[in-house]
Amino acid sequence: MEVEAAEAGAVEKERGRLAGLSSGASLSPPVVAGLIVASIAVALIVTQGLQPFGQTTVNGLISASYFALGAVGLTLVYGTLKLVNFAHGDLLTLGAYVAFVANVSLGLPILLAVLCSVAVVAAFGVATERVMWRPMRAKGAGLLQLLIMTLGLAFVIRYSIQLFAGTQPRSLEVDVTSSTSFVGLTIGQTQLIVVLAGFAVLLAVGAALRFTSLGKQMRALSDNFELAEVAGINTDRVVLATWIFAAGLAGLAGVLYTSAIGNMTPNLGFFLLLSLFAAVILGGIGNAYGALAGGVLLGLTQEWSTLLVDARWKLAVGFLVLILVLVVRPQGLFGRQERAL
Amino acid sequence: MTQPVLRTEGLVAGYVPEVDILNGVDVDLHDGEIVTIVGPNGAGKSTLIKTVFGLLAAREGRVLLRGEDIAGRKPHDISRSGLSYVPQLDNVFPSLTIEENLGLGALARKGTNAGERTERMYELFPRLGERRKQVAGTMSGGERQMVAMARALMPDPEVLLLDEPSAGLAPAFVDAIFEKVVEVNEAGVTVLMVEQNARRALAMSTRGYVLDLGRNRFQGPGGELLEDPKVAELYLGGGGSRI
Repeated sequence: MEVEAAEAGAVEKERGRLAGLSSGASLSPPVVAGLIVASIAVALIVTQGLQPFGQTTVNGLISASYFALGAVGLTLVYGTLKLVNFAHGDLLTLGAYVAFVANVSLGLPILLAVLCSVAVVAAFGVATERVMWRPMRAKGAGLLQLLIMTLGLAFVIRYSIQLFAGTQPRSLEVDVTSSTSFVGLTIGQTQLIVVLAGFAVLLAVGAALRFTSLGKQMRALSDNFELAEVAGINTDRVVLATWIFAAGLAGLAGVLYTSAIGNMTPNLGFFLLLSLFAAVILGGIGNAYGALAGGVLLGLTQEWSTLLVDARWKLAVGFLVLILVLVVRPQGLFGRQERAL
Repeated sequence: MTQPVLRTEGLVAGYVPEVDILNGVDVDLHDGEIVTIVGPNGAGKSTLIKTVFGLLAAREGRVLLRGEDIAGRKPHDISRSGLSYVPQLDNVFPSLTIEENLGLGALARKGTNAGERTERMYELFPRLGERRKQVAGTMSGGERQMVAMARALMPDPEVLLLDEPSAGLAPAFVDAIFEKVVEVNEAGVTVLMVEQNARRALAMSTRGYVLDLGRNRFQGPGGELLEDPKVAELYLGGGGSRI
C-alpha cells in the first residue's frame, strides 16, 4: 500500500510538472490533461494489473456518460444566461421519474420511455425559461436572487416528485442481472448499453456544438451574450434552443444514471449535482467541450481511485483532483486564458 | 446635397432614467465618408454610436438609415439593414476560432455567402488567414480588433460603426488598425467612428464632429478641425502631439 501511495505521489508530481509546463504555453491544457491521464493510466496498469484497471475504467466510463451529459447543459445555461442552476440535478431526477411513469406505469418500451423523458424535461426547461428566468432577467434580477430561485425550484421539483412517487426506490424495467464478459472484464448488459448510448450521444453533442450553426451560436452566446446580440444573432431563439438542449440532455442523463445504478430515489439529482458542478468547473465554466471532458475525467478519476483507496472515498478523491487542478489552473482545463490587451 | 446614408436628428438618450447623456445630437454620414466623432470623456461619443445601433433606446429624435427611421429597432434587426457595429472591448468570441467568429458574422444578413466573405476577409486581413483555426481569446489586442472588424464586415455592410478601435492598443497596432479602416473605406464601406486618439483619427477622416456634454460643438472636414485653434485648445490638448 505504501508503494502505491508513493506511486500516486509520483504521479501527482508529474501532474504538477506538466501543468507547470502548460503555463509556459508550449502545449494546450487539454493535451496536457490527456497526457497526465495517460500517464496515470500507465502507472495504474503497472502497479495494479491490467484486469483491475480495465474493470475500473469500464465503471468510470459508465459514470462518465451521465456526468458529461448532465454537465454540458449546466455549463451552457450558466455561460449563456449567467444562471447557476441548482435545479439542474433535479432535472435529472425528473427525467428518471418520467421514464419510470412511461416505462412501468404505462408499460411503454424503454426506448419510448427515454424519448418521453427527454421531451418532457426539455419542455419543462423551456417552461421555466418562459415563466421564471426570462421575466426575471427582464426585470434586471441579480445573480443572487436568481441563484436562490434555482434552489427553490430544486426543492419544488424534488418534493413534488416525492409527493407523487414516494421515497421508496423505484426501478425501470431494464435487465439489471445479466452481464457480458469480454477479455476478462464484466459489465452488466444494461450498463453496456448505457455506456454505448451515453458516448454516442456525447460524440453527437460534441459534433453538433462544433459543426452546426446552432451549436456555434450556442457557444457564442455562452462566450459573450452582448456581442452575440450585436453580431446579428437572434439571441431569443438560441436561448430557447439552449434550454431544450440542456434540459433534454439532463433528462437523458437521469435515465442513464438510473439504468446503470438499478434504481431511483427523489434525491438522485441532488446527490449528482455536486459532481456535475465539479465536471463543469474542471472543464472551465461556460465551456461546453470542457464540461464533456470534465465529466469523463471525473468519472474515470473516481473509479480509478477505488484501486488505491476504499470505494467509499471515491467522491472525495474526485473533489481532491478538482481542487488540485484548480490550484494549478483556476480557469479549468478549457477555460479562457484571459489575456491582457 | 444627396440624401445621407445615415443621419441622427436631435438624438436624446441615456442609461439612467431622467439623466440624458445625449442632449440632441445631429450627425450626417454620406456615402463613402469616414466620419469621426471626437470629444472629451463623458461627451456621449460611445453613447451616440450605441443609440444608433439600437443598444440604447432613443428618448427623443430620429435615426435615419437612407431616410427610414430605425430608432427603436433591435440590434439584430438593424444589422440586417446593412449597419455593422464593433464594440470597444470584449468584441470577439474568445473560445471560438477565428473562422467561427467570422462565420457567426455572416448570420446577420440572410443570403450572405459565408465562405466567399470569409476568404475576402482573409485577403483584407492576411494575418487572420494564417491563423484561422486559432482560438480568438489567445490573440493579442490588435489581432482581436482585426477579428472584430472582420466579423462586422462579414455581412457586407454599407456602414461600419467603430467604437474606439485603437483603445488600449500598442502604438504599432494603432497604425495598422487605422490603415485597415482606410482600406475598408476605400473598398466602399462608409465609416462612422468614435476615437480618443483624436488627432490621428481626424487626420484620416473626411469630416469630423466635436461633441461636448451631449451636444454638437464643432463640425467640419477633418483637416479643418485639426487646424481650428479653438478645437485644438479645447479638445485636442493644445499643440504638439500629446494625444
